Amino acid sequence: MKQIKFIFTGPPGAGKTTAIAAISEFPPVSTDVFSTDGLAAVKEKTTVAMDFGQITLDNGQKIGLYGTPGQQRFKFMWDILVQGGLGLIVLVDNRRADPLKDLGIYLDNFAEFIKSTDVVIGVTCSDLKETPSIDDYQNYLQARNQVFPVFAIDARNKADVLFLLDTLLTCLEIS
Amino acid sequence: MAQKLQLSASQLSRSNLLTLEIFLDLTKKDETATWEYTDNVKAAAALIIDADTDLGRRELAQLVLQGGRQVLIAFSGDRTGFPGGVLVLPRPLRSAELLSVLRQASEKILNAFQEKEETGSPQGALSSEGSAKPSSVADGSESSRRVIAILCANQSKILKVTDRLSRVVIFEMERRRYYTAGLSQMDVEDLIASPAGSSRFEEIGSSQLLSETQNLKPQDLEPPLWTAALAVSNGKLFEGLSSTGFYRLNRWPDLKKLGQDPLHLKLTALLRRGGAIDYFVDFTKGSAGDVIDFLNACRALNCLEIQTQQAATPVQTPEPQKPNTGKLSLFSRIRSRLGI
Repeated sequence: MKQIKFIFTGPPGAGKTTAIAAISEFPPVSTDVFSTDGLAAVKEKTTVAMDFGQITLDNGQKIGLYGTPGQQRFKFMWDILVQGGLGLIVLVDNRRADPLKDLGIYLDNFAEFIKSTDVVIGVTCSDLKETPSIDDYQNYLQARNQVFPVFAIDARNKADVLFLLDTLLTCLEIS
Repeated sequence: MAQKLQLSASQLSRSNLLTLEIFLDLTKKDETATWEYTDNVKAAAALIIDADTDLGRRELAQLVLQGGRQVLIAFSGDRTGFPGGVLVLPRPLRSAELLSVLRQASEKILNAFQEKEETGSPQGALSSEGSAKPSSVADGSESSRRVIAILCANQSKILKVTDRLSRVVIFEMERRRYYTAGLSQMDVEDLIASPAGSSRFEEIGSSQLLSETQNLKPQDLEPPLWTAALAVSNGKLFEGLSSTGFYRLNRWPDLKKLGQDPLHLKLTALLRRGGAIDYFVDFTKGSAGDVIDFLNACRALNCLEIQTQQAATPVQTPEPQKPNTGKLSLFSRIRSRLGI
């Protein structure tokens, strides 16, 4: 599991699989099953173990793109997946009941990993539901005494996903 | 009706001169002032001098000493080190930057003209009704106050601003949004960057805001505020910022909607750790002017914390860490592979 990789996390339906697909050199390998809980109304299938995508560098080195399962009951997988991770991308679905609380859950659960690496936050579906605004997210982080990059993104848009990675790489270069 | 103003140039290469004349056509749509080129250096309201040549530098210094009414514009690859009052047009010549400098020049000229006509104070148009007091801001030209300075000093208020053409913009500063009927974002940028003396300010309450904006859609104030701050900054720190201060971010500016400039991204990441201006300049290998422009823009968006040397805690810039060359090389290869 000690492969160099970026970790994509966030609640179910936030667009982790889609974001990985946008930049991976092959369609992500997903361990999806049909949703049986309340999520079934939002998406037909959900990831239970992980998504896996990859990019190959010019020297042949492989960089993994790992998506964690969204549901908290798979938290044991999160701790395994972060090993060897370069940085974290948290995607938050703005349509959910309490996206700020969602963000807090992921920042808390990945706190140790973030401390040793860095994190960027992408807010998806803000075109479908305007609140909370990016400003609200920043206010929320400010109240937690944290300064992290937060951007509204479309997980299907490669340029948006690359902008998140560009920001994460810049933060990692500086830290 | 737009004023017609004349511009001349000195020590400019032939190619730059031709480009300049072409770009001047772009000012024909400007509502405040249109510009045309003249060979008569003395008759021109503004003069662009290539300050990267020996002759140009000397000519500029001489004209500054003479203290004439002509607006002087230094065309240079270095944005710092020019006397106060001299506008700087960065090299190479680009239309957006030329238009921004010409807009500043026309404001200076029209204000000087207006001041000459009026017998009152230069801030005579300010409203006495509201509690929003104008504060001064270094604008890279004179100590003239700009609308942005007043907005920055009133980050929690709702300000109704009426310009000289009676066009109204309501700034809801705390929520960083604005309301206007008919003005484009560029018009709002111009208003924010314009001298405060040309506008009337009134602080209003939330009930008046509701009644006055019933049919208006709130618009994002951050992009015009950011653009205007960068445009008027001109490498000089806004009031309240110090060249020896320690700066830190209190929130990450939304660079995705603010231009996605790679230098700004790098500076934002640095600023999150905190440091002094010299440290940022060293780290980015950029110019002090660019760093100062960026700090001013962050200040305008209220995402900057400042610790001055007068504070109880001594100012400390983090020790530059030795870059992990292995990691930097890995990041560089990732960027290259992804095309970022």
